[in-house]
Amino acid sequence: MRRIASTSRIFEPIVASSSRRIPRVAAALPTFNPVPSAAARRATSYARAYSTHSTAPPADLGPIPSISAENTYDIVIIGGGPAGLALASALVSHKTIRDTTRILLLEGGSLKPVREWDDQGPWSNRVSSLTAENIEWLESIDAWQGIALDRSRAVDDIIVWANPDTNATPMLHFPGSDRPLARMTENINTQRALLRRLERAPEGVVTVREGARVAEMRYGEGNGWVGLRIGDEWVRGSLVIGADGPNSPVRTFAKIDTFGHAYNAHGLVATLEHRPDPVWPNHTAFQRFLPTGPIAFLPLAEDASTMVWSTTPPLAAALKRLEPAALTMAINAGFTLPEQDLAIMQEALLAADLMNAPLSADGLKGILAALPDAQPTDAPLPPVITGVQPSSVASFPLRLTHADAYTAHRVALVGDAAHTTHPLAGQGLNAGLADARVLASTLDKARSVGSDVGGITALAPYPRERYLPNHAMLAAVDKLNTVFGARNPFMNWARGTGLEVINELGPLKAFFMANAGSSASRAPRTGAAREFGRAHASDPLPGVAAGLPAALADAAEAVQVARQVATAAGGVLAEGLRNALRRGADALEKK
Amino acid sequence: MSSCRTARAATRLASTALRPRPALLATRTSRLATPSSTRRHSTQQQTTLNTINQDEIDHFSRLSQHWWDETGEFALLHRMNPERVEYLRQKVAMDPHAEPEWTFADRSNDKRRDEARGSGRWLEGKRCLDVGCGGGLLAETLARLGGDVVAIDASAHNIAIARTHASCDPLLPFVDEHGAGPSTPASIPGRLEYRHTSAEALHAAGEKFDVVCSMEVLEHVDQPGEFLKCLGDMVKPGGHLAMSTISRTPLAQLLTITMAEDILRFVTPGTHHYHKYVRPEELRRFVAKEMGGHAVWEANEDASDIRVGEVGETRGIIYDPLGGRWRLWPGVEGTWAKGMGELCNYMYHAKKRA
Ligand SMILES: Cc1cc2nc3c(=O)[nH]c(=O)nc-3n(C[C@H](O)[C@H](O)[C@H](O)COP(=O)(O)OP(=O)(O)OC[C@H]3O[C@@H](n4cnc5c(N)ncnc54)[C@H](O)[C@@H]3O)c2cc1C
Repeated sequence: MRRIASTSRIFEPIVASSSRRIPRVAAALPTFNPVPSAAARRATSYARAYSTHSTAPPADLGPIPSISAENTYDIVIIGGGPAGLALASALVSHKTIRDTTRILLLEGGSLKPVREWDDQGPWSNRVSSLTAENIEWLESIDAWQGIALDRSRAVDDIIVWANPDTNATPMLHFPGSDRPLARMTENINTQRALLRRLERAPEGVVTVREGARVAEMRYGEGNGWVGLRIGDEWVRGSLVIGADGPNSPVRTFAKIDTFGHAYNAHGLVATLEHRPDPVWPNHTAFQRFLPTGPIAFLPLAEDASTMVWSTTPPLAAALKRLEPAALTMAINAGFTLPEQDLAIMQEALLAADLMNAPLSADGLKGILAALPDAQPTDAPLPPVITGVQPSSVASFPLRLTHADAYTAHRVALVGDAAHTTHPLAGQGLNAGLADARVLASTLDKARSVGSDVGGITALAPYPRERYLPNHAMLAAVDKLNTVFGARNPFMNWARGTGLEVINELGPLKAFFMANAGSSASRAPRTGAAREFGRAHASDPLPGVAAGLPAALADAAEAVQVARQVATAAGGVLAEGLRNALRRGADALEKK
Repeated sequence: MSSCRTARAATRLASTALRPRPALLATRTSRLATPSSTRRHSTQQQTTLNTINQDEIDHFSRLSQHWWDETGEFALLHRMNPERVEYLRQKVAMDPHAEPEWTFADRSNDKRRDEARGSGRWLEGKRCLDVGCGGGLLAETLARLGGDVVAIDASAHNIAIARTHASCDPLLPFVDEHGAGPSTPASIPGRLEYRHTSAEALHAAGEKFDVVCSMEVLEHVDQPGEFLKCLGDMVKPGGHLAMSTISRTPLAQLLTITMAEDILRFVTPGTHHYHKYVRPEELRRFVAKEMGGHAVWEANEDASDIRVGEVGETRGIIYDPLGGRWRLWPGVEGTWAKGMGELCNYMYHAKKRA
């Protein structure tokens, strides 16, 4: 909290001052606020400093010292996370960029763990599902070949369910095809592959500097460049790209606001251990919607999986403090117990935590034994968990944020700097990779016609292509979270009917899947690989007359189904529901 | 920062008050190609240099903002620029006459060779002239592409604004009015020089260029024929002449005069004169008849072009409001469909024989 707020002070956009500048001229330059008076500046600085308990005095803003040609770049990317590295890799895969552009990537932390990651060792808890579409793209920019494949688990099936009461288990099943729907890949694995891609780029195109935290940003005179201070040294770029994560200092500098809301939830992550299943290889992702949020089981290997349990912050905190054996028990309960019983267990966990005496494994066993006998449910269950890797247990707050804009004069945002979402759809990083892909090709085109890469006009195609899709995804995930989290008879019925209708109707489901943003569903496939008759809604129905009658039947069916689904789920957030269900496929595919 | 000259330029600008009118459909203004008026400006400048009036500085700061405010009144012109340069790229970088000899041996490399030709700094080593450069929108892009660019304008203000803007970009190979620069590293090729002069003066000095551009100027000059001959003369053998202008059609009148000037007031009324507009075929025929025809200029490389008595290619350029960008209009030479695209704004290109 403290770090964020103090950076926002430093990143106030201020036109660089210089003894030769006539202030009135700078004040009249387009787009940016003029230099505030020193007093006003100090006042705001103190106000912010006060609110964040920071005692640092406001920095006095002298002129930017002159910056050498060596330290002058066309593009400066801030952030060596997956989004920043993907963008740099994408840029060097474009010929014009490679031939004409100098790129600097600044990472505040160290990239040593990434570079030296040896694909052995324990599983990281920062794992993302990469969609088939993004994997294809990473292949095309020559980066996927650096992935440690035995540390990237194919997800062939996704099963999503909720059981609001004991006799109803509405369920969605996304069957596999001849290509995985997605691959669970540790972020560090992806980052290492991208870093290796950069190391193969021709000399002098990309400079990667780590341990280089940007402490100050200012527009140069005439807004012709952006100066960045790293320690005592200044560098500058025609374009600065914020790939600097959810608290993006670049976004603050560019005065781009965000909107959204915090989910009153934390995501608890952990690496789970279980026995290999001789019959069912571990390629299925499971997600159960509980009243407090979804709990997801995501395969990593035959005997390991990762979990994201989104739940209330106190419960997440209580779970995090459990000893490993007790946590193992609680997670198994989370996937299997009926909701009423789970509620009892959670009460007990919270009560004990409040007393500062987290339940022991034996204590929890006692509570679970006292529960009324659970009816066997017909829900499909993930493997029984035998243990949790203690060091992998962590939790993070969940937020929906979307930047008002992705670009400003000499600034662009990608990845979490531009948007964050609930992990239930596993779309966070996938959206960031798509941003990187589009921004890189936008810059390549701009460069090939000699445009100033920092100009709004040159950058315009990027938000044009990415803003709405990202927005639709964020909204759909948000609504899914609401719809599946609600517990009242009407919603239960609506949700149940909605899911069952989708599940029963192959063509519609195929349609959902075809729109799930994964080109796996668009890829040619063998008939036998599909549970349902058609890969695409547009394919002819097997055994049914083709041509116009089939088309009419399709259309009639689609209308019928759409109406059914809409009514079933209707009344809830009328505007977005159909969209949400459609995007639901996207969501379910991941977690 | 040593090269950035906001202050100095503002001082120079304080001398006169001439506000450029905003543009619609890429109509640049205040680009009078008459050297006499420009000379008057410079003398005036000498005498008033010391009377720095704060209001005037503010005024000219606003003015400089107009050329380079990408979201402001010149937004359409900013958006047109990439498409104009794309046209140049197709004509200059992808010039079929400059294509390396095709052999069976390397036929599998066609795609890669094409990519190599049309990418990177494809104007490197080419001497370019931008006549009527305004604030320098086109000139800067040509310089960034590696071109050795001379950009001229008859308005002293425009030249001052263009110089100021270029001097603030550390990656532009900008040369100031004293010939100092460029201060960019040797690894960045190209040269960008602004001159307050006229095409006629350059011509008289015997200057020659590989690429001569004049965007949205033809419709403002009083003697388009003399102007064209002057531009054509400055093209080196094997070089290119590229222009953009507006056709004399009812549609153009509706869009650029009735709508833009009289109704929406995007452009100051009186900026455009319908009778000064030139139709595409008039331009092509003029080059054929009066500028040496095919003895001097290459035939249009488009194999579908079988027209006689016309030189060069015209190509419609149309604003797509949904895409927020301009698009070059496609079509087969000499067909009705292609002509439809040239009813308002269009590009012209001709290549001189080597
Ligand atoms: C614990 C956890 C688990 C997650 N699990 C999943 C999941 O299962 N699936 C999924 O899809 N998503 C998940 N996410 C989200 C996913 O990790 C993000 O979408 C992804 O990391 C975004 O990458 P990024 O590069 O945009 O930002 P980040 O990974 O946040 O990278 C930002 C980088 O910028 C650097 N930086 C910031 N400020 C500066 C500065 N001033 N100077 C220099 N460098 C700076 C930081 O050091 C950092 O390396 C998870 C996130 C967390 C925290």
